[in-house]
Amino acid sequence: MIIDVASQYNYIIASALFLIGLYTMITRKNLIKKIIGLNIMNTAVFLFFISMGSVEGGKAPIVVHGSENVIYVNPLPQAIILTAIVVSVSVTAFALALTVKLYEVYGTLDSDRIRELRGGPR
Amino acid sequence: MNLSSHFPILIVVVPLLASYLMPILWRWKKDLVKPIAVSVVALSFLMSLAAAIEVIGSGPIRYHVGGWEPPWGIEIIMDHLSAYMAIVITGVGLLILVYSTAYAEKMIEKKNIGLFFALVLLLITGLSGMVVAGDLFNLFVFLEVASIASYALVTIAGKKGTKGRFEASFRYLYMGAIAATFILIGIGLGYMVTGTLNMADFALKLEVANTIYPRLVLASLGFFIVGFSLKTALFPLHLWLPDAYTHAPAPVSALSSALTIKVMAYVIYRLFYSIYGIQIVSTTTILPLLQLLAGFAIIIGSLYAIAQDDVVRILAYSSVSQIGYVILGATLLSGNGLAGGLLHILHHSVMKSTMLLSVGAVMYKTGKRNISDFQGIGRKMPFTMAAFSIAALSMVGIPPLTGFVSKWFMLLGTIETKSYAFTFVILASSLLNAVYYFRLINYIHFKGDTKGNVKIDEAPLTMLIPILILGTGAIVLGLMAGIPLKLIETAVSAFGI
Amino acid sequence: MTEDLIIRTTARLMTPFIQMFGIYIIFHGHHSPGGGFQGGAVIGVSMILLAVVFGLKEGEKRMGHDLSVVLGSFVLVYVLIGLLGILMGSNFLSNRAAGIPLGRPGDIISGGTILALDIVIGFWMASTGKTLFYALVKEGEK
Repeated sequence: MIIDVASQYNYIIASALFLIGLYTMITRKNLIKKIIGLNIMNTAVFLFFISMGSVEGGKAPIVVHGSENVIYVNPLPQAIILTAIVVSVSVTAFALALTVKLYEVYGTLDSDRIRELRGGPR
Repeated sequence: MNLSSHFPILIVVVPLLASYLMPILWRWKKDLVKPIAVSVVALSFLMSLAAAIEVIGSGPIRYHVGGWEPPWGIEIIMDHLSAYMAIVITGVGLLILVYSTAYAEKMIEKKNIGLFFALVLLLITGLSGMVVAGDLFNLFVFLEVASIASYALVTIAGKKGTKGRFEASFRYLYMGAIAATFILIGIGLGYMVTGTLNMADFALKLEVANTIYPRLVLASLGFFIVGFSLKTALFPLHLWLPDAYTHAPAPVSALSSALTIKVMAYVIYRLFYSIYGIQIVSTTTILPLLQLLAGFAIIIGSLYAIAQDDVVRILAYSSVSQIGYVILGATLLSGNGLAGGLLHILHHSVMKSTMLLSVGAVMYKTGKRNISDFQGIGRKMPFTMAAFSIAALSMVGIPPLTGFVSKWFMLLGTIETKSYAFTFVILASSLLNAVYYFRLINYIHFKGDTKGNVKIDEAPLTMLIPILILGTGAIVLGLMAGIPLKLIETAVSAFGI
Repeated sequence: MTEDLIIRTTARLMTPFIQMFGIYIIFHGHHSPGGGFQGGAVIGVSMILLAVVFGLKEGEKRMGHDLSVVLGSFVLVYVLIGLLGILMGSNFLSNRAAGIPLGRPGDIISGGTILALDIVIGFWMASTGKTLFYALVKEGEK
């Protein structure tokens, strides 16, 4: 049974990466580290999706003229991931722009200090 | 070429097109920005009405994007619930947009006005796309479009913008991004067991999959619910909401409270009843858990609201409380409860946007928004404050105003399902609502004159008319509840309750 | 000074090749790995390379702000192509169903509207890449 579980190492690594990303986002106080944590989490999800789409002995899903009866890997997760990557890039870009502004306004990148400077939680 | 059959996709595409036009127009032809924005959303509203009439007449409209048949192609479905939500989104959105044409002139920095309208149009596109999506992944894409537009709208600089808006937006972004990742995982797990993303197909295949992989189905449902609960600001995942509303311009808070969080709650309804099906969901412990959280949201939101000084923050916590009602409606397995929750979506949108827009009008004229600054404003801005007071009374649930009608349905629902604890919760929270709303009304109308010698007069017409229309809605929609109920009741019976 | 010279000369030499490669990725998106987003990102990166090596002002000259706005709004054309599907009798964003000629898989001119959409996305992504970089750097410079 250990061999069965270990042969799915893709999913195990994806879960580990996801948890690492989530942990980073929650516990680290530096804003840039939080954004990196977000990226790690997203990358873990992408890994999870793509490994879900892989087929035993499949080739890249590109139709070449004059070949039939070829096994392709599932192209649907790949299309999903392309879109999700674009979304992730947009969110990261916006988060970084906000970080630049936050640094300009508060002079620090520490989220706890920013909380204090703003007047504490209400 | 029968244009009306393309309405479902056009409702989404037309605001998208206009949103892309905004940067070009703003750069070269500034006068066209506002008329085009307003007319585009008006067009979407008319198309939603036409689609709703067709749906009532001949059943759900199924639209195959690109001509590809489902389940390989993307499908856009306009059924009764989608039509209802589309009307709410485009209708209330239209009124808020008209209001913001005047609000933006004074309260938003000149160079950002074009961006403001582009983002609002993107938000409406995203929300409309979410309600007509027939495909799980389309739902995710439009969800992200709407979310990113929301994050950006919170930071639009007001002339009296506070520094806190960046941190509010960062927290909103950050929690929203975690939620989106969770939703993506939910989609992945769901795809893994069923092999399809089309919602109708997914529901069919899930029944088979649930017998083989019950834990995976539960996991994917769990991820979805956590993600959407965060987006809809259900307690205890509501922490982004008060800060985001206080630091955003008034129309943005109105858009978010009236539309965005409602559409996310609508998706939870869809998940429970159309996609996963109530058979599967009721075997898990998700329903009781969500009921409990909704109950907490209702009470704790009101308790927080009582403690606030800033009027916008009071309304923000009130939104947290009201979303509890909507989610409670989803978890009560009774026709009346469901109808009450869905009806509350419309009613709360109208009532809360009336109040937020009125407060915005006060800020437009005086630049202040603590409760003490509202002293005596009722005499200086009679129409605006009349609308506000009526909406407040409606929120408390005084018959025959609209708030009463949706609460009544939900009370019936709790009695039918013998959840008497929640009957008590709804009644108690109405009392709590009365505490802070009556306090506000007291200050506005009965507390003596305004402090200082600020010259205040009534709000400009472009701002006043939407407020009055929404305020009238707060009175009339309850009496006219039969009309939205036509759509809702068919939807509820399609859910199989 | 010599290091500066090496970097500048290399950048000047490489930029046309980078952009050519980006355009290649865009154009062959429908029958080999790649596509609009990836190719556009490569072209955007070439703009960023110019900005990093030569300074922001030089980079501005290659693709100014107005051009970015127009190219960025090019995604309008994407929606218009979709509406083209409606005009030709079938649904939004139709390809084969609307009667657009498909060609043989493996050719460059094949796949109907996919090629046009890829080009649009490529323009948009190049403009976005450049705009994001410039926006972030300009904020920091103030």
